Amino acid sequence: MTVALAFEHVGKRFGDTVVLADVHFATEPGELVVLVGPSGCGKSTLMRLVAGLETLSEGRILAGDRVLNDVPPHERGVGMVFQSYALYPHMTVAENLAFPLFVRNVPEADRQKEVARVAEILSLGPLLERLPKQLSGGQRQRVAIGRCLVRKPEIYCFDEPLSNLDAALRSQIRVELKSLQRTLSKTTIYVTHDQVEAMTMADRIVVLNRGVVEQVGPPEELYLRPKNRFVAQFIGTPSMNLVAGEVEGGEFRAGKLVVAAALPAGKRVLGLRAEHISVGAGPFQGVIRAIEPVGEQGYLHLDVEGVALDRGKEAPRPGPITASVPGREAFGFKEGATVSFDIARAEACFFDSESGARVESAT
Amino acid sequence: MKRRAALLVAVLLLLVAISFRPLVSATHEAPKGTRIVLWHSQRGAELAVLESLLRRFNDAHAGEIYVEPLAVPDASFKDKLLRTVPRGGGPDLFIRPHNELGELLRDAVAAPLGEGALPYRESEYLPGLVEGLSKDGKHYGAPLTFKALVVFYNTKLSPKPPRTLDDLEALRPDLPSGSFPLAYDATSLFFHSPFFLAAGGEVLSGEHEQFTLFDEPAATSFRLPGELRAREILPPEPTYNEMVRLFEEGKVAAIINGPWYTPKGAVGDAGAWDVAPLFSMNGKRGGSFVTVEAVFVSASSRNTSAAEALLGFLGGPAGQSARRSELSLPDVRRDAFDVAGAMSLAQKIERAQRSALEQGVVTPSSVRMGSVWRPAEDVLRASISRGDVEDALERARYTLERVDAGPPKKQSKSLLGIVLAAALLGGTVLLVRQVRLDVRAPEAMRAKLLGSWGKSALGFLAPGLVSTALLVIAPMIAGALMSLFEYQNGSFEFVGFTNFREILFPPAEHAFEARSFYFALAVTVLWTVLNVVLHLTLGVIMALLLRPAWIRLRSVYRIVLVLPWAIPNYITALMWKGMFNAQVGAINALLSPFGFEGFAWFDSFHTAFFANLVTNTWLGFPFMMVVTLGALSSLPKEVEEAATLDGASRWQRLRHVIFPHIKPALIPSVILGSVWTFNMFNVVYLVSGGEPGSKTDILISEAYRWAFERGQRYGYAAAYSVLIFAFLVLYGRATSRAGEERAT
Repeated sequence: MTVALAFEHVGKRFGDTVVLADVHFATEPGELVVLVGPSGCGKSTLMRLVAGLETLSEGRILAGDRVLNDVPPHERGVGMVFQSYALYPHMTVAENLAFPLFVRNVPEADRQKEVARVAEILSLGPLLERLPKQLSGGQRQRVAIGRCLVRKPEIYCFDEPLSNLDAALRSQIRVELKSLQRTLSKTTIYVTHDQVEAMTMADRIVVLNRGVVEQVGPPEELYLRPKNRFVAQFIGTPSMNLVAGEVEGGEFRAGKLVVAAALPAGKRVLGLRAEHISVGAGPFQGVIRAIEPVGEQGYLHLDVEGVALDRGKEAPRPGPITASVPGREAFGFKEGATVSFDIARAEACFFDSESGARVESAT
Repeated sequence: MKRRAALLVAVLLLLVAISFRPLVSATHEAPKGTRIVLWHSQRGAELAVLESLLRRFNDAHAGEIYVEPLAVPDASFKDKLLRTVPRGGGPDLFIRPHNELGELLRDAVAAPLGEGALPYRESEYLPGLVEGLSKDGKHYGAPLTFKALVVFYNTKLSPKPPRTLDDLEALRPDLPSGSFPLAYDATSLFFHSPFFLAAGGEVLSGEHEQFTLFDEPAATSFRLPGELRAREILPPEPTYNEMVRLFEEGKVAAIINGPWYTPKGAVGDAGAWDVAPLFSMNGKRGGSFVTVEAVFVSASSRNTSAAEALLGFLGGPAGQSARRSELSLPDVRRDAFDVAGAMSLAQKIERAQRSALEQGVVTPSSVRMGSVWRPAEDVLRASISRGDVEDALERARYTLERVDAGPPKKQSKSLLGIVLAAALLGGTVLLVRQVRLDVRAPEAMRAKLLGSWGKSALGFLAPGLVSTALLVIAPMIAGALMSLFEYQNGSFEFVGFTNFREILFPPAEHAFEARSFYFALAVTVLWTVLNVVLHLTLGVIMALLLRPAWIRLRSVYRIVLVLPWAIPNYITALMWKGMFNAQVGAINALLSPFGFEGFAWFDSFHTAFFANLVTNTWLGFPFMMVVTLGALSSLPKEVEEAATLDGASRWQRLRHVIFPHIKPALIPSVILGSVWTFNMFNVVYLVSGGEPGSKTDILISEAYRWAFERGQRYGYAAAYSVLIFAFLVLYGRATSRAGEERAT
């Protein structure tokens, strides 16, 4: 049976420090939910609350219709893979895998059967007699996952599982993890600070910032329709261009950049993804400050007269906007040259420059 | 550059030379005449009297003789004499107690006095004094004064001086509870001597000067302290300091003590005390062992006549009257004391001492006397603690036999040659092999110890190598060699493996009693195992309890833990000994509701061993605790959390996660700790002191006692040390091998 996980106004304080405030969302059964946010945003704490390694200050956490608040960690049906893997260093792989069964006094024969089953799934067979220190990072992680599988939990928790691996291995494991999760189809909480990881793996992303949930939704929604300036900037590579300006009489103005906008008048921020700026022809002109050819895509950093960027943390300051061009074309541009560009108005988002919240277009 | 260095050295040498020359000769013009050097260890008023006497002597002999006194610390006096005089150095005269005469004669340090050198005729002296300074009809010193035991009594508890032991016992019913009629250091043969002599005891007797002190009739006196305690005449745990304390608190009617004693405390302040001669026993007036202080002429003196003139002056009328009038020391002449009527305190003390001398004996000055005190103390302690005195006497006789081992059977020197050659060869082969292995080891290759680098490395290593060789290796070899010798009459005699044979193959009936190697080995192993188990258990438990607060309170812990370590462990040991004291100890005070009042911890093996164990556990567990805390702090929090999630209970986490993690750190600590404990001399020596009867002594303290407390059997003690060393080497090898096996 697969259960869903629900957070009801969950809060966590350490003394006077509020780590999490009013976290309130629910997952679908079997979903892979990624908790993402900058470091210190409370994502790991939220996961530890689920695992029972921390106690809640407010609210409830439910697995299906079972309230987890006062259930001891090992009875919650929650399995966790730690960032450092937390393998028992003096036990062999087989002993590590069998430990959850060993402490429950499961008979030896059943333990071996279960270890063999999990070793099969994770192809750990040849490693069973080794000690953790004799394994590579990726192998250790498979063992850590295996130890979790042995317990057959209803909910899986992964705490930054890829951060200790090198880049090449990371994308490989990412794919493996995702397919494993599909096979198991158990609700999974996955913590990362890497939004690319979040985007590629998640069924649903929870963006956390300073202990507050900024947005919950599937990746494309977060990408295309970010609820606020923080999510807009945090999700997507490169970051969304956030241009400070003013709406008046149905037009957004920022220096030479003028975009039609059916919005109430006031200070606004225009959000534009790089791919929604097409270079070559158009009403606007910009000077190329820098060129970043990264393969199948290239990015141009364009100085546009009168344009200042507003990232929300400080007063708007002049800066280049980023436009994407197909990879091969990127090599054709020269730094310092002036180019024309156009923008896809329909894809533009607007945010209130004070609150940072998205302002919906009237049209 | 070289010239400057040479100049500097010259200046330094000059400075040293100037500062070491006697100040007198540096500041004053040297007096004319024959120079006589006098060594003494007198202080305070005694020194003032001596100096004024010497001034008078120098004035009287101006131009002919002058005396240069030199104060030598009492503790090292004898050693200095024994080292300098046989080599032609040292003083012309020296002042020492007579009981060192045996050793002084053995090493030919004292010279016989010439005809008529004694200031008085022999018959004029009090009996025994001159005899105590004589050997084979020759006199070796002039008596200056003597010391004998007297009775101090509390005039409130005993208005009249106690004349007999029965007088004292008669006081018993009228004394308040917690008070006793008599106190004296019943653990010491010296203070026990009135009872010993009253029973008709003799230390040495017969033609061959055999020890008879543990035979009848002397043996009877050893039963007495226990009876006195049973009759509540004597307080429990009658040791010197304890007895003085009780007397000064007014809880004891009479105390036997020496003339050096003046009561202080409540009784002293109130002046409620007086002095009397020793009380009578068995119808005999009391006597005691007597020590004679004498001036001797050194065998190395080249001015014997001048030296004898000074001897006559110091020991004659001038010296006698000055010492008596200014220091109240008893005169050595038979008819020097005729006081009728009321006596001053000084006169009372002198009379009491004369009486003790007349009824007593001057302590034999034989070298062999050094062996007597410990076995006698063991018997006395057995008696006090109501143990089996007959058994203790039998053991004491056996101990004395071992301690007073006769002249060693010489072994041919060729055996020594063979042993030395074999040891030298074996040692060299082992050393060379190890060095070759080490130099070619991968670490050495990396450090480039080979080739030209090796030569310069040797220069850097030299200071360490030389000092290790001098301070560690050389004494070790010397100690090992000493185990093949026996010390006799100031020289070492090669005896081959006799010491080892005696130690390892004792007579079967004595093989497993106190002071035997196997008994001490068993005690040592028990001691080590129990200690290490306790240190480990307590240390780990404490570490686990303190761990949650470790991070926050780390600095506080450090201070709290380092402080006990900063205190030398012998101080801790002495504190614990005080706490286990029967009368004033904190432990008995705490346990008094359970009937522990006055409980003598050191009277039985089990409780004495327990006291040692408690002390050493107190000293030892913090180390294990700190090691454990350190190991625990390297255990990632996540591993424990993982175990929690895996469903491990608290005990299972401890057993399967935490303990395996700290075990690698604990194994070396256990090995270290067991070696330390195996050789934990301080605690055993200071807390129980081996009581009762050397039963709680471990191997290392046994070795010490054979060398310094039981007849200077240095070779025998060295053999013990070699055996300890061998045992620990085997233990170390076994454990490290076990460790290696585990690692692979």
